[in-house]
Amino acid sequence: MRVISRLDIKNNYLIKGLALEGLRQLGPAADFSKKYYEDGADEIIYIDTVASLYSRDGIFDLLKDTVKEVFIPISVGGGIRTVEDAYNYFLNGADKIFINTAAVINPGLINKLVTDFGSANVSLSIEAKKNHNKQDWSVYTSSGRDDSKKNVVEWVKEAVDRGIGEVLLTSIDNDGFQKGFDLDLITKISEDIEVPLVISGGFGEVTHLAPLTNNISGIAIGSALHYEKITVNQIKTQLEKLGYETRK
Amino acid sequence: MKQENNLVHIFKTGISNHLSVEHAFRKIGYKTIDIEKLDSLGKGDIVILPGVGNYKNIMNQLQEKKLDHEFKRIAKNDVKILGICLGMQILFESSEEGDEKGLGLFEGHVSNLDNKLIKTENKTPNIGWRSVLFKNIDSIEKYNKNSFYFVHQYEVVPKDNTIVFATINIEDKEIIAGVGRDNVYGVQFHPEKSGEKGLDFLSTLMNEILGNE
Repeated sequence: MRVISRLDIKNNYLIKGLALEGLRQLGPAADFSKKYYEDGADEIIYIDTVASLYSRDGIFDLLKDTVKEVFIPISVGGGIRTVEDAYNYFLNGADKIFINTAAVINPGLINKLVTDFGSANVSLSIEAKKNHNKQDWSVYTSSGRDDSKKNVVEWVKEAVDRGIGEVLLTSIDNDGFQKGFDLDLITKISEDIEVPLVISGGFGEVTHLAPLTNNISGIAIGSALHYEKITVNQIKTQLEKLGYETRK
Repeated sequence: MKQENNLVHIFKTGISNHLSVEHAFRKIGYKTIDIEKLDSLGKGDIVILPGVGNYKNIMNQLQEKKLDHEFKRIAKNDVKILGICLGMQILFESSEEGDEKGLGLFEGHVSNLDNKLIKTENKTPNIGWRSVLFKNIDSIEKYNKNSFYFVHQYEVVPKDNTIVFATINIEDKEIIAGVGRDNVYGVQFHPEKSGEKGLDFLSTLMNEILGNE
């Protein structure tokens, strides 16, 4: 199981809030990634929270800076609307890209990206929020701002059919609270999914790892690492105790 | 003592993670230069074929520029070639990912992992760190069972298994992770993205390819 540091980015700064809102600036993102690399993280995820609103020059500079010192995969998302946007992320140092909003609006974009970059290099980021009246979840876009009314289970199925190579599933409800993952959501998705699943939102302490299962490919962790509540190493030690294969 | 060659030519395709490859080689003491043509390369030069992307796309690009023939020429002329990920896959004759012919520097084809791993717990694409088993090359056997980063949907199936120097196992199925013979080598994983051990491995593999002591 991969232990992934997830960094939500605004103007090259690491930010973090609750339920993808109320964002607080924590420091230059490049410093955090370097630290996580040295601590043994398996992958870095950058999600540029403002790329779709403003220019992308900031995230490109950050990427170029990061790849000089960080020799683990760097996956990047935020504001990819076209094949050309994706191309520019790769050109500036991304190893893998995430798409969300543009794919929800225009699902055909997934097919186009997969044709050009290969399914293994194109991931789908899903921000899921629970509908409390029904036991299901809606897909949100634009960093958790807009309800697309799409059903999460159906959206995963469609995206996989279109060739997406991986899914990053974020629970908006649990994001930032460090009270544990949304296990109902994870179970619902992980049972049938045919591509690697990375889960995000809610991790706070090692006991939160116990209910996970072998069909989860990675855990993307934000707050708990950013606020130094736990280290990558402590998480890996626990995963090994639980019988998961980790990087050696 | 022969002079050690420390300049690597990184072949720039339309889509690749050439920045990461460049920084990795610099970190282990090489100078790097991006190239888009192969005309100037001759005996003893080193060219790296990085790989992120799609087989069909990359082979189309190479064929349009007649670079497929050029690769055959430099391989014959003892240019050292290292392909990474997709860069390794195109060294073979054909792929399920496209109708285009590969470079054919190795006999064999490239097959979709779904033919082998369908509906197992370890879903495809194979994304993540895998423990790699090494054989046949003494200098790199010390990396046996170290984890390296993989991200691929296709695997190489060589005709001649004696070229294989690295494998991984998923669900008791063997997947080839490294091949090499004479001056042509390829790895399915990304040593440039596999942490400090990955860089150390890359350095050792390069010494092996270059015949450095």
